[in-house]
Amino acid sequence: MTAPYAPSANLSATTETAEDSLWPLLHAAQQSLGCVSPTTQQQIAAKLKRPVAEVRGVVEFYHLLSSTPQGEYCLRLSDNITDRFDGNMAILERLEQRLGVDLGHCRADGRVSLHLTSCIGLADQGPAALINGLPLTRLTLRRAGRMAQLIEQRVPVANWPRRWFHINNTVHRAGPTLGCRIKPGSVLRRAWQLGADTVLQHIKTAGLRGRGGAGFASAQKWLHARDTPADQRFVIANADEGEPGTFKDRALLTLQADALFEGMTLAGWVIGAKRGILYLRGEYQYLLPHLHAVLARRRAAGLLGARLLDTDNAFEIDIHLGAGAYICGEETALIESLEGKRGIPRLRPPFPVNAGYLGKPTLCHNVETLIQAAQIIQNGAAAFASYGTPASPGSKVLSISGDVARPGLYEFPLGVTVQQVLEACGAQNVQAVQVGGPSGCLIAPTEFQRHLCYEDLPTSGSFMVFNHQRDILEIARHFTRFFAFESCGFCTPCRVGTQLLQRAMDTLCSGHGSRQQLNDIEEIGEIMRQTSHCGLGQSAANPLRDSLLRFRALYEARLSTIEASAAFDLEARLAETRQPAPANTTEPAP
Amino acid sequence: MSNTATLLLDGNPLAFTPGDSIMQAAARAGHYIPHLCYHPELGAHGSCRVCSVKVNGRLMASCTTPAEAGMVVENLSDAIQQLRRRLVQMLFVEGNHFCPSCERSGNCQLQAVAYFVGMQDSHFAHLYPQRELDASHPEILLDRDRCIQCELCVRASRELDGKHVFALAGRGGKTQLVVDAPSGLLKDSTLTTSDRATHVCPVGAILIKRQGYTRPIGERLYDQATIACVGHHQPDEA
Repeated sequence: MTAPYAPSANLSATTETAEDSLWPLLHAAQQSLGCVSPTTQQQIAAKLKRPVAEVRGVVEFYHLLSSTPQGEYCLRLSDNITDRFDGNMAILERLEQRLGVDLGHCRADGRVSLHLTSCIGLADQGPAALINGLPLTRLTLRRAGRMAQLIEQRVPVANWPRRWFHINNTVHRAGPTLGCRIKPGSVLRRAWQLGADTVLQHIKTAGLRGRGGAGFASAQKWLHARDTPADQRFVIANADEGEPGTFKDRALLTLQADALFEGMTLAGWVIGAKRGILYLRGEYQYLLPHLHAVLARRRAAGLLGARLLDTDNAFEIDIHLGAGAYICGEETALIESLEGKRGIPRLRPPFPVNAGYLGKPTLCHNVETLIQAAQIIQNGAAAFASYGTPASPGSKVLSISGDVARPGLYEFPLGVTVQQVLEACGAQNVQAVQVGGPSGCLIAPTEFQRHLCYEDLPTSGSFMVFNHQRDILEIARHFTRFFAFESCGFCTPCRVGTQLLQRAMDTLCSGHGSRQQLNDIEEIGEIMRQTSHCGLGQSAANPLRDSLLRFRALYEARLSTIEASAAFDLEARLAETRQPAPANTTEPAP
Repeated sequence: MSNTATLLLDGNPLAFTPGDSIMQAAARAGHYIPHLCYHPELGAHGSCRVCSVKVNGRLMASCTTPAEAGMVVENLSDAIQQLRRRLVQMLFVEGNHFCPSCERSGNCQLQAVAYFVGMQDSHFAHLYPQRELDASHPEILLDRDRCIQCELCVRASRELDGKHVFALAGRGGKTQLVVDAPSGLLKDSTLTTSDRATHVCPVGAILIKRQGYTRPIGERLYDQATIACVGHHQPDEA
């Protein structure tokens, strides 16, 4: 591919994790050649002395990597349910039409390829898309037509109108995290004054719990990581936020990168780690120049490197760029991915704090958790715990999207009611709220007095609001398809269960569903919840479980009148054999 | 016996050695827990979930759960067998399995486990995936239609043969078994008929050619006795 392929001159895809050189090679090939072809896979395998089948296994696992060439312009339309409601399907159709390219394919002349991709973290300003890794927000049909023209005229993406790429990080309701003001180095100095044990005591007294949603006590993780004998330890900031509807890390990485790096360095000093890794989701590649600039500034200020502020303390931070896999938000899958493997969650025990990255004690925290740890040391545990409830101290950053007057970023004390949040963001005529994304909970208006906190409705921060015009079944079906696409495929119940649920929902939504199918959905969901290997499989049926529990009448109304429907559609099968063999594609059907 | 402890398996005391998984402890005492991806000579994997048992009221894979003193483990209750039946049915509808004409019939662990958990039908609608058959190797057949992605061949090649003939590629429902060769074909790999990986397959995905019917149906491994009595034998290793 020639020059126009490069997204922009300063967009570097380099990752700096020295232990495994697979990732730099994969990213470089994908970016410069438009794919990691079988030939490239062989070259990489030979260079790293790894089996070529393993390299292929990795390439085919991550959907931002491909073994067949992508277009000079690689366009990925975000396909969250909010993008759907914002009209992304009409935009897709317009682009297909104007560009003469089919979804999931590259045009014959190699100019453009078109894909749908899971939520890219812009649910507050959709419909959104990535073009060669750069974010396009608030797409319109008119703009889609204009984009098609620019692509046909081969205008480099760098010369496209800048406002198309504008990301709005407006904070509608600030709090201690979004409004955090930490003078670089001040938290470290304070920590060194206090001593590691006192710092740990502060984190414990503050009652900080993981902000990814699971809510494990942070101080306990720090203690385990510190007290496990080892010659090396690691701190990982999990910025692989893939939960549909979440975008708080996008904002925090933009607005609070210094506080995050300060928190990582603080945690590293307390547990005895000399190295931190920021695992950045592949869809946030465009944040790399900014993040590298902040790191460089900190390095120049003596806040990174072999001698932090001329003390004997050392710490270095690298950024690892992901490649498109929701499952890598799970900490053990993330660690596998960092090690250059497929993102399959590990068996636990051992836990990462005992044996994580490269088998060493590894402290893996959500971006928000690390920023709040720095905050606690700056402002004190009491200030932190003055927000929230006794079991859920502190505040939480919410990513609010959907049918609200003011989508965007909000920070609330934990324990806030759903109703209070809805009032703050200007939601009216609300039918349901998806709290914590598809893996969280779908709630109905009768529950709007419930509280966002670990003891009631835990949340990673995704908060999607649906008004009465929205079709609950379509929402549940969309999330079900998301999980089928993102299942890692390791265990039977999740790999097969998500496919069965997707088919059942397709049948139901087409009006051919039967009562038997509703029973099957419930049973499959229960099997997945009870027997899946990791949290993804255990929660993948939540959208169906929740919507059946609260909106069963909507399902009943959609059933055909017969008790059971035929599982085998002869005509459909024959139609398949009459078609030419399907081309390879990794896209979910629109 | 100072180094042993006891748990309860279906109400009966079961002595185990510290470090045992529930599966290992049960096997040692001659109790059968249905499984597909577990093999006594290979590290625990925990992907098929067929060995799920209820431990103190919670479902766990017995192959990956360490045995602990005082544990109450439920293995052969109707509820657990029903759950396993559904998991096995999922494996059947996910691939293209055709027992009546399969060379492995009667020697197949998937089929034997299906009988053991009382499977009478496939229950779910078949997914009918399109998968590639690799008949390129002169002596060994790879039929992905019958693969259940247990990774026994992947692990046996790595852990027992010191090779890397197989790997999984793709993700979710698109996961498939791939072969380590530039062409991706079995004939260009280093697999031989004496590799453990060639014989470890619990289904009919990896078969030695031209010996499918040396033993008549009716006289095969699981035709004589249920898999619970036959135990841990791999069909091809019997």
